[in-house]
Amino acid sequence: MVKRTVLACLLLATLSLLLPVQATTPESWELEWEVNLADGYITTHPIIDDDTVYVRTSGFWTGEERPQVFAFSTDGEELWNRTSATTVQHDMSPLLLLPSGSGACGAWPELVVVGWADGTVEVLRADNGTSIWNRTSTTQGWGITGAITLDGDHLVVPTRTGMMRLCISNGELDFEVELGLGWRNGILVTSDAFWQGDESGSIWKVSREGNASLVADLGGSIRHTPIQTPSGIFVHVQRGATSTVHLLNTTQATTVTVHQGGASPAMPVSNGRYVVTGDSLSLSTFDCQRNCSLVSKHPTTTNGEMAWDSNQALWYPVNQPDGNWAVTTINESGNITSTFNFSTPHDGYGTAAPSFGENRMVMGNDAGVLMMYVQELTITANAQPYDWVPVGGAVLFISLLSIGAYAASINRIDWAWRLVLLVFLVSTIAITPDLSSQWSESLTEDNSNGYSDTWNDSWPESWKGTQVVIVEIDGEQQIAGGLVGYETALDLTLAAANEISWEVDVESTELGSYVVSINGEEGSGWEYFLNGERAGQSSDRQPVSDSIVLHWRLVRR
Amino acid sequence: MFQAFGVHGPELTPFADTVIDVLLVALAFSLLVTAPRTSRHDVYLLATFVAAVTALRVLLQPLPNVQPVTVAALLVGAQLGARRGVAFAVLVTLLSNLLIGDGWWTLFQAIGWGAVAVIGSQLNLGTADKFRSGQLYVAAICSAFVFDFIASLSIVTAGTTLSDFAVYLAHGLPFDVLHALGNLTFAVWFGHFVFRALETVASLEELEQSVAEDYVVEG
Repeated sequence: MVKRTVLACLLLATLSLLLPVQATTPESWELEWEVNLADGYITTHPIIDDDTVYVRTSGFWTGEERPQVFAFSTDGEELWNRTSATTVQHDMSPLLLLPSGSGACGAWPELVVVGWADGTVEVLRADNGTSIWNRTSTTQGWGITGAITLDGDHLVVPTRTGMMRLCISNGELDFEVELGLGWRNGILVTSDAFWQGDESGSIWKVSREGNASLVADLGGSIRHTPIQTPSGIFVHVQRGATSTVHLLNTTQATTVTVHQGGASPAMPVSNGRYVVTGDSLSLSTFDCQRNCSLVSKHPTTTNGEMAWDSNQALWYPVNQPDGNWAVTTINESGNITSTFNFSTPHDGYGTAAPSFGENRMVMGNDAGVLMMYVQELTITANAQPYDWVPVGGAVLFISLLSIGAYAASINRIDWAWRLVLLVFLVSTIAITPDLSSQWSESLTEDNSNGYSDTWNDSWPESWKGTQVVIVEIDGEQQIAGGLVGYETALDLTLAAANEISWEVDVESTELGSYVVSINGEEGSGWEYFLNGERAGQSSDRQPVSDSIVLHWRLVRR
Repeated sequence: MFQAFGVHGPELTPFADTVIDVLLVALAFSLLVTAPRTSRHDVYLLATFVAAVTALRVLLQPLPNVQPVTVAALLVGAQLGARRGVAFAVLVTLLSNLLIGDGWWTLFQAIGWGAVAVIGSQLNLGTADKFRSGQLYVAAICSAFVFDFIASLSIVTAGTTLSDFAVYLAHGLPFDVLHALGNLTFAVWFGHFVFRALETVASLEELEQSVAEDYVVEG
């Protein structure tokens, strides 16, 4: 019997050793070739298809050099290049690669669509770079800087002063419309309209017939393509030293502020449910199944483009003097689970995202060096630290229970009882934090009631129906309102603290997160109330409703 | 739960903290001195037991509400009587809280474990050879709830309503159950062993007493 027990334990231990985590790492990418594009920034992502890489430069403007578009084979051989003699600075409109096709205006071969900063849209043959057609648009200082978007057999082009819609095959104008001045302001195409932000923070809706209407005026500047989410249209607005994230309800034409972030926002990206933003302070994830509420943050500086790889890891350039690329993984709950740095021989400032092909990745930065990486096909085992606790715990439990069973079989009931009790105690300890949380939740009343009783008439009317946070220290109150979409008391608190520029010190424990101090004040503790009622559990586990007054009070006794 | 209430009663000044600690030490020593038939050997053994249980409490502190002191206080109370049991409870509370956090709650924990020691003194656990383990197990489970209730009183302030306190107790129920289960585990694993060790002390006391009584008779 003893032999069998030992054998079983050994077997389990051996099996657990055979469960490595398979993951890719920075080491799994190898630099295959690089090329210096000579005196030009790469400020937007290259494009890679089966056998060709397309990339554009913005030009340093220190000598005679001019912005160019290049095509390279995947082996690094230059196939063609196209230089604009007329463009001005800031050529950063992302290239658009179109497969061959046909539409009402005619047929077209495989194309590279280029938006130039002198306002010209130029369509090049992808195979040799010759120009098929071009069309100019209004300029004011500069021309096209945003992303051109495909709309069936048409192109939708963000011009300096608005947008225009053109036939792909011949460049015939469908409509052109004047909106606000734009900068990198791509266009969201939906089934019924086109949506675009501008340098004044306005969001415009343009019907398919070309009729424009102003939907929202947020102030600041919108410098990216708005993102369609299940909760509305998502925009990240640049404002001086900060930025704000807003959600536009397209049916009611109302907006809510979801979050306040750092300066110089990056171009947000979405993977369906979650939207990721970046700025000079952090990378943030938002759950757009739930009003785009903030899920998690990771401190970094990223101000340009971001891109998902085939494993749904997010790659983005860290825009600092010695910046490299960062790779962040986001789990099914939208939480940032890990981030690793990817260094190249040419680290430095950068805003262009990498692009991915089959086992290939191509990237460039402000130094104007294009780099092609290939991925080794061998998967690195145990690349990420493996969490041995569950396996170790299971082995320990099974061993103890087996020994208990053996003790019982030889009539040592006292020892069997001891071992079983020990296993039971350890199991209970393991589940108590979750059990306690569930228990507290079941005891906690719905906190959506009592909002009107705690509402203060001196607060702005626009805060009504939103989430309001009061932080009270020695009778003095700081209040932040108009917040929406936060799901837990802690998330809401952190958002409010961000609004009023206060630091919140949170300590993580097995029983939940403990708010140690707000604005450096600890006292003998902080307590909180939801719509006037004392809350029942730690703030990270306490759900909050959409209309809530969360009141934190410093206790000094 | 703990964040919702967030506080551990009044925030004491260092002076008030010291006063409470000194009073508790004085109480423990007065109880030891006034306990009947306390020999030097008893004091050494009790001190060793205090140190061991203190270390165990500090060691197990990361585990939520697993409290080895409760069963130890029960057994000391049962074998050495209420006074030494309370003295033991007070000393372990003071020493361990010096390491893991001292404050207003120390007073309530000392009272809680003191009360458990008094409950222990009312038990009749038999002898080492005829140990009534069932009684110890029941007492171990019940004393968890007694201690937790008394310790919870530390959060009561002038502004705390009865309903606030009831909600607080209700939220803590899973941890009370965990405390009870931990007590049962300690009692099952170490109850008899500790009971036997402490019986040695009691036997030595009885021996000394009988020698003294013989001396008086013969004298």
